[in-house]
Amino acid sequence: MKSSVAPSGKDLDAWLSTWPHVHGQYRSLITSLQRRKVAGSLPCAKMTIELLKAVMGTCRWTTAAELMSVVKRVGKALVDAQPLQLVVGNVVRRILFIIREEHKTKLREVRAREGGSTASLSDDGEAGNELEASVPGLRTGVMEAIGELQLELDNVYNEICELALEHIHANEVILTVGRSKTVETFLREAAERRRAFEVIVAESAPDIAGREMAKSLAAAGIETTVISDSAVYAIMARVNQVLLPCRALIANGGLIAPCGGHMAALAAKELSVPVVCVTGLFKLSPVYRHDQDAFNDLRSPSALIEYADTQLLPEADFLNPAYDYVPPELVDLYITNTGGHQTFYLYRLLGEYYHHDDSSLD
Amino acid sequence: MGIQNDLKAATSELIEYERRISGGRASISFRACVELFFRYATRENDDVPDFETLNKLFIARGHHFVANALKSRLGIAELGHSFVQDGMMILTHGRSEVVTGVLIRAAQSNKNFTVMVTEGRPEGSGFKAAERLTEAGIPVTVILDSAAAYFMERVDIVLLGAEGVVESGGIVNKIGTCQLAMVAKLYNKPLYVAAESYKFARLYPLTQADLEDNVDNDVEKPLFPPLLTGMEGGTATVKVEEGEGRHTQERGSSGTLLGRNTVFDSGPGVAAMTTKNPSCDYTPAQYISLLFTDLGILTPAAVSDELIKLYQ
Repeated sequence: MKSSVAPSGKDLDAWLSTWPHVHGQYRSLITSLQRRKVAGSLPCAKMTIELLKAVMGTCRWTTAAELMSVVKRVGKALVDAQPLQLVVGNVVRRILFIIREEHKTKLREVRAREGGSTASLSDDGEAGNELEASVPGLRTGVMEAIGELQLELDNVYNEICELALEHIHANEVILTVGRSKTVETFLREAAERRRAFEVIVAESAPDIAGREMAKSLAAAGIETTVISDSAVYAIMARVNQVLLPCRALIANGGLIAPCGGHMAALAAKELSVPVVCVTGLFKLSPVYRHDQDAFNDLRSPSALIEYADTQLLPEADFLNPAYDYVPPELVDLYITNTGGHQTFYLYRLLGEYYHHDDSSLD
Repeated sequence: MGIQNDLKAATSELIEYERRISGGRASISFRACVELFFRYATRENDDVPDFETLNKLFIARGHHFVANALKSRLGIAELGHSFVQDGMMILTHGRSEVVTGVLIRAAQSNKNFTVMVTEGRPEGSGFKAAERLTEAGIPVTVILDSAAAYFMERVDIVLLGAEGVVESGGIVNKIGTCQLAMVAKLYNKPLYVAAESYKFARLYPLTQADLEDNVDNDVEKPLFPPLLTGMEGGTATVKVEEGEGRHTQERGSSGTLLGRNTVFDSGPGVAAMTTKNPSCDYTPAQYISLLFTDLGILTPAAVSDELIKLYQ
């Protein structure tokens, strides 16, 4: 009989192999994260939840503490498979928070039934030991709460789009950088509701995802202009607001945007154009950025220069960073699935979604 | 209630004592700490059946409070050290146990970084901090308080302690902090504050004048006391940087930076002169990037929320 406490690292794989179904799902998610097969943050988040649900439903655990250690170990393996995909870590921490909350509620119910005093000595911060207590109904409670989380993710675009008409006014000129599913859906929704406005898209070289974005917007009947990234400042004087796509929202209120986002935000600040970021709150990460390169990704330089041509420039380096960090002071508003929030309010949302003891998954 | 009155009396006596020994003012953290302890130990005691249990509850909470306060420093070091990266130049001002803890923890995780410490006039607290850090094997450079702007362009982050953290998320700290923070902001350098949550005070200063008891014209406190009194004879070497010319000198030997300034000791004009010597200043929240506390890493805006929770 194997221990019900999940081991870490390599042993986790062996431990999970007791349950072939879950193990297969685990391996396939790890592989697709490593190979970056899952495109987009939302599918990543959903697949992580599916796996964790399967793990919870199948693996052996009796107390909240045990369940949390299983979730943490599996979560750590997923995060390590693709450390730049911050949503994976977010979802894992969100589920840990759900377990804590459910455990607390159930425990209170049990206590109330037993009629014990609520002002016990142990209410002063010894909650760590309380997680060891086994409470009935924890599994169903947690599963229900996770179901709500899944529902929230399914509705994320709908909720954000509800706000489209509030933030996009008639005859406005909106600038955006590169391609983002969220920004695209947001703008298309406004157009569908017969709001007339103009969009300028910076093409976002070298992958020129902005052109794809422009194509999709134009197809929805929006008056769309594509500009090169270097023309962002020149055109900013005509822009009413900048809509920034977002890869991750980080705890100090800053955001990780596609490369070029920082430049657009700086240009907007210089000309006092409001910068708005449209994003689902599942991208809110309880992590802090420690240096310039944190959470950035250097992509293949082949987009900048053909391999054969490098012979001509043997001394030159070619860098192709994928992301930009935009500091919080450059962002005026976040439009999220729970409404509009100001930068300084994000810390409050962190407290609603995550427990600070879970910030490290080790 | 008797016990409440006793605690209240003890509180005011403690504050009075602190005021006496520190020459005129009780520190904000001290007052906040005493008040928090009082709140924490005596909260929600309605449904306790008898006095015996209540007494036990109070005492247990008291011990828990003290244990937590001691633990929090370690927790802050654990949270904050990841902000220190290899090759960084870190500027600090004044002496703070928490900041020292963060830096030593970072050094223990094999990061190579340099610390620049302002000397911290008038009492020279920077030298004491420098000594602690040097003993821990961290390269330290001591500079004049007035050289902060000069060196700011080479600095990567500013890391400070705090005497008190106020409602707005601003801090009250050793004199010179505010100007340092302003310079850091001008150079776009992140400024981090490491402070335990018992330093959170329910104060809302708007101007420097709002700092209670901040004696700014205390003639008893000299502007130019000899620095490093009682520190002679050590073996550690602190690097002292003056202008462009750099030299390393043995701690305690007399250079212009360390030595006693005798300009104001005599002379006909001295009697007519006024000197002002406030010991701390208020730094508004807008200059602070993040606070490292035992409640987690907070933005200045989060402080008022945590304060409300603490005093609930």
